[in-house]
Amino acid sequence: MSAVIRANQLAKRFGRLEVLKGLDLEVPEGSIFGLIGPNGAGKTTTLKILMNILKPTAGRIEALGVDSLQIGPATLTEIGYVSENQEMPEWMTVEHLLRYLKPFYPAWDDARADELVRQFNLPRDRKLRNLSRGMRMKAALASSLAYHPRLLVMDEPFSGLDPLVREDLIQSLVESADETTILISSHDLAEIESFASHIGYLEDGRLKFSEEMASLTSRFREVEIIVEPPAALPGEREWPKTWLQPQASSALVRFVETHFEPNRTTDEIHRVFGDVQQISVNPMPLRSIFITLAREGGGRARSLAHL
Amino acid sequence: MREAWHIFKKDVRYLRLEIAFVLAIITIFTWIVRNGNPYGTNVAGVIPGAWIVALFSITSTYLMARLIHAEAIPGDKQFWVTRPYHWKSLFAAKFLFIIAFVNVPLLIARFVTIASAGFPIVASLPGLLWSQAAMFLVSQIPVITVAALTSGIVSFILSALILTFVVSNAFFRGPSDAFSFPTQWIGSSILLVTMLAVAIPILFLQYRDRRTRVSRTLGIAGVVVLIILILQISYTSELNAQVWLSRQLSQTSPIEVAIDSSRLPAVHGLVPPDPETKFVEIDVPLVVSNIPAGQEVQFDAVAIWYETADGRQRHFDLAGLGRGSKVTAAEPVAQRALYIESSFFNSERDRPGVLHTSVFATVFGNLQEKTVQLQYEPMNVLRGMQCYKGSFELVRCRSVLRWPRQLLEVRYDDYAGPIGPLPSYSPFPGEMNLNPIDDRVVGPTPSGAITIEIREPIAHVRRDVEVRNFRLADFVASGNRG
Repeated sequence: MSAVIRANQLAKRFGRLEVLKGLDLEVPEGSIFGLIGPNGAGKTTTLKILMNILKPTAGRIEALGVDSLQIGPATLTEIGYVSENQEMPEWMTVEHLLRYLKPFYPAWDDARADELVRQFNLPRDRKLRNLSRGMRMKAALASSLAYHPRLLVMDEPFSGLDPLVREDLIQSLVESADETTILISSHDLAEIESFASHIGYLEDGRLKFSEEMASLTSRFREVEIIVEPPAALPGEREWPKTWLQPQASSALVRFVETHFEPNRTTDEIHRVFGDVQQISVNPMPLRSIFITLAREGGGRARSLAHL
Repeated sequence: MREAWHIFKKDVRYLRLEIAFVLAIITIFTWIVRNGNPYGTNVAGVIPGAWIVALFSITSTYLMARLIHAEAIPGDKQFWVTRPYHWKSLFAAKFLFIIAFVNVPLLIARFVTIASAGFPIVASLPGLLWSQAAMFLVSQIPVITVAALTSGIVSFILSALILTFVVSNAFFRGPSDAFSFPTQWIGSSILLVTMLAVAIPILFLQYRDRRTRVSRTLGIAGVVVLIILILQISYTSELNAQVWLSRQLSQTSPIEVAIDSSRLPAVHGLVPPDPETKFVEIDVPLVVSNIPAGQEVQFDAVAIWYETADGRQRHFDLAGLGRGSKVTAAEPVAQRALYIESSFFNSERDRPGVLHTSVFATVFGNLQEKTVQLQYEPMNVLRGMQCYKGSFELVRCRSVLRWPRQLLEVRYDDYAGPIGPLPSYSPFPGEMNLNPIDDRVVGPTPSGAITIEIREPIAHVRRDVEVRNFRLADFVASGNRG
């Protein structure tokens, strides 16, 4: 799969604040790529540089093979951008917005636009300023999907929306995934997990990892061990680097395995603890993985690059 | 072009209320101008024309700012920046809008005003078009530029107020005569060209690349340059430029200027002969010779500086003094008075020094006369000028788009005097007043016919005079003697 988005050593500084510190990123074509990370990690900045709204301080990022600094009208006819922060022309009605945008896009599809308006229950004759936040987001998405973009970039689209609206948006995204690569930054990890095919974890201006969702969720496991007799946690030297957040309580030891493979993980447990009474391995939802990584990054200041 | 038209139509729909308001104001202004003196007070003591002009300026500025901010350039949240706009189309749409809803209505209104006042329409067209273009460059380009550097109406208003204050303050502190008649057009043109040299690259940078930080830096640098120019451009430098522009005629003009102590007036001197007086008046009689028959010389400025025997200098800014006073072959002497500190005078009074004088003057000739019996209805007299009997039976004359660049005088009964202000030497066919008709009182009630005299400007001359062994004591005004 070729990359639709490719960032290389992307850096951005606002005065003394260094937001991006050499970001490397590849978004495969056809993927739904969820970009996650704690507040201030640089997600929105990355997307704005990608769209040529901001200029990078160093490095480069390209979309559809075009350097972000060169992104112009021709490229933008193939990219959709929806952001929670975007200032829409609120004096327009939904109908007017769609009619206004149509001539800008050679691939504009009236049937698709109508379908999206119906699907989202958008009132055509109501001004955007009189729509709820969720409806405005739907209008923005409809106006971005009606021309079958090759790439859709979404910045926190679900923020503050009720579950029904989220479901509508996700539904339409999934339907568009056949023809559109989607890059979406979000804090709504449950939603991201439900439809993203790839995940990138951004922290402190750097991409800590980027991989397929299936691979990510299969390699993260919460492991619980019952040891006999109760023992203190071994020293950090003996602790495998792929185990995070160790906790010990009486005979129970708990940690997160970040590279779970049944045989290898079991061997490691025996190497560290000797004989154990019980090993329990539980899959982790994306939210738990995110929290683990965020705490690990902020807590022990330990490099997560190996993850 | 199709995209520009599409954006234009969107803006028309978006700003339809503001457009209607501006058009209504232009209509009201036209009605007021057509139905009387727009700057005269009505029975309620209100000056409707002045209010309407102010209202038009504010509303048209607001309209243009809103238009530009519909696709604001600075910022990172605008909807349009992630849409496939071509910058040339966007700029063309904005340009077209301003032409369509500010300039064209104004052009039509002014055209209607001129036509309904009975001025020759075809002859007025070049001036009207020029004036309209000048208004666009002078008043609209800065508004568009400031709007392109700001993201909302609040920041626009703040920036515009700061800019207005800074530039007005510079005018207030700069040489007072530089931006007044008759050479105002030179300083104004320099400022305009400088402003455009900054504004056009800013608009280009903003619309093509959205480089707001660079553009704002350029804008601040441009304002600094403008302020320096306002402070540095002097009336004398404008006159030098005016002479240089007409250097061929200036060099061939036979006019000569000398300082002749024998032409001192018998009794003269505004300053009383009081020992406590801090200043002493020195009279400098300027004698103009070789004035060809039928011509007269009007002084624009006299620059004088006195150099003492030990090399100290005293400069006298007489730019405004005597401006507009005339000499002819029959009356060739013009007195200029210098006021110097008593201490300086007392130390130098009998020591010979050098007096340097530069006389800037304009030679007028080719007299034309016309005698007319004035009516209450304005009648065309000469050079596109109309005169009539106005309120209180006063003689009034009016001109379209600019006051004639000829020297205008009127004679009737016992009265003789200039018509209107000093002529501007501007070569441009129109000025930028919203009201295209300049209407002025020129004299008291006539008992019969009046005679209008018009003289053409023939040459702008500068003559430098140097008088060695100049003793201040020999030129003390008679009022101070003793």
